[in-house]
Amino acid sequence: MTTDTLLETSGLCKHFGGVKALDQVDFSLAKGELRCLIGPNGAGKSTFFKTVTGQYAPTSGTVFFKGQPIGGLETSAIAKRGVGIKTQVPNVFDGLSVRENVWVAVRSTKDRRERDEIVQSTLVRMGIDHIANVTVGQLAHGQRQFVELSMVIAEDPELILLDEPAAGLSSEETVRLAEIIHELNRDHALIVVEHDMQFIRMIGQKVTVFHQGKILVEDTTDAILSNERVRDVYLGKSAA
Amino acid sequence: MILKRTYIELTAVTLIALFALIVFPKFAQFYTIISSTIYVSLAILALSLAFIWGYGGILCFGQAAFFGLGGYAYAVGAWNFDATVYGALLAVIVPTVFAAALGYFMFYGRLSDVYLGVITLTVTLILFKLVNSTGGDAYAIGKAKLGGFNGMPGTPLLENPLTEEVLSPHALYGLAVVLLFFSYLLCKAVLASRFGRVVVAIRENETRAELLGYDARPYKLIFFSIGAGLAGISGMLFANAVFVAPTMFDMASTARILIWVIVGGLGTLVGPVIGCISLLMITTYLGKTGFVDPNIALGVILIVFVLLVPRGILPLLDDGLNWVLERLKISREKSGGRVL
Repeated sequence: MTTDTLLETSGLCKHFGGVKALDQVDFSLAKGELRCLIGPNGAGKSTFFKTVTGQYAPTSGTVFFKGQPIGGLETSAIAKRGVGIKTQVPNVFDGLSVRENVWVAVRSTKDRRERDEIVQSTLVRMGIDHIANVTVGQLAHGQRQFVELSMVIAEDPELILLDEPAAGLSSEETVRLAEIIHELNRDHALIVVEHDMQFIRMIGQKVTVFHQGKILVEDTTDAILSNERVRDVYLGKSAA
Repeated sequence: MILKRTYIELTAVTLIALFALIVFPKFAQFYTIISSTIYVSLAILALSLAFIWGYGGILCFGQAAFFGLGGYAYAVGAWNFDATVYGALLAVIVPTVFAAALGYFMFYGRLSDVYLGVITLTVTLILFKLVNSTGGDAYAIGKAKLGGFNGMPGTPLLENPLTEEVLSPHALYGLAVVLLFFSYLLCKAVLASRFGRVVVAIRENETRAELLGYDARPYKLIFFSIGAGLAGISGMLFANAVFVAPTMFDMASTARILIWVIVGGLGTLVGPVIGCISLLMITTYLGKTGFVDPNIALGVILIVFVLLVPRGILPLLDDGLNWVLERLKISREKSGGRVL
């Protein structure tokens, strides 16, 4: 592991009974890097995220974040160390307003005024300040996606994990999301799980392909899209 | 808008508290004052469950246990210390510490809501059995004989710590009103704090809260313990207004608290207080007239509310008020801005 490495897993396994959701995954992410994860359903992408964030304890193997082992720690302890996640299905506080959702996410300060300022600037940055006082449970799927993303941004973690952030978004929202991801990548490392290859093209630099719980291949976006093995297991012969 | 509503609620509650404290005792009969003391004492118990269940999402069947512990802790303190005020302090400390110990195993053991309900109910019933079996001289804490099935009759009543005079029924009523008011303010203050907001967020989505870096366990534990302390205050007042007996821990006590909260309105603080006082008035009236068994009436009321008014009295009144205001607004707009 180099000093530039932010996240590293070694021989990471997660088994559910006889099913090997993650099987000897050796993964490494540098500080400030933007990485896309792709793979067919059941490839282990979401399990990988859940294991890194402590929602699942690894069956075996290690997870290092900033050189410290985090495998098996409590979810909240891992989040405190600087790992934030936007989950596949919007995971928000439905009974609270948009502003309250983002307010809770700010942990960097205990000063109420400073906290309010961070919340307001995040809402404006994400373009959802006009719905700040609306209860999140009343919002459409796309808006809830942006609320959750706002929470992760307000949390300001060093590593941001985004699990299918473009799912259910309109084409305008998808373009806006790609811009936000590039903007976030200026001072955060990101791992983005996505199925939408158009979206991967918009944001991708380096792509890791998961297949049957293992890393199949890692390469640049263009190289991945023209890789025969990737086409066979995931994209299909007619893709790209 | 939310802030405006909070101010309206606080103003209304303060005015009602002042009325109950200053005006009501001037015209109420002696018997009414004594009954009102019981109602207000139990309203704090309703408030305690409204707080932890309505805002913390902790469905606790054990509020009666903390209520009973508060009553017994007061009695033991009052028998053993020179000043009964120490008994009153014990009535808050003992349930709070007991809840913290019980809660530690429940929350740090990551028990699901169903198991939490089962365990709190079981603990309550164990305490009921335990206290019931403490008859005889052998079961005493210092000078305080626990008294088994008969409870602890003759427990010294609260004194004014300055004059050392026993509180009169009117003074005890006044104290109960003041304690209910400050308990309400405490709940409001906790909920308005960062801690309280995080607890509400945990209730909404514990996984998300954990993913944001909040360890839900200590938040729930502290919140649960505050609720137990409030139930202890209620037990102490009840011990002074009525008696100290094992029935404080029984199944009926446990069920009543849940009914007060459901009928009054889960997710509000004032609603369960209204639910508690109004249902106590109804059951007392029915008990006196003998027209129908009060417990059957209580059961029917619960079924009616669960089926027809599941959100409870206060949200229903709130919706009604909003409807009226909306109608007035429409009428005003139709009449070209003139106030009708």
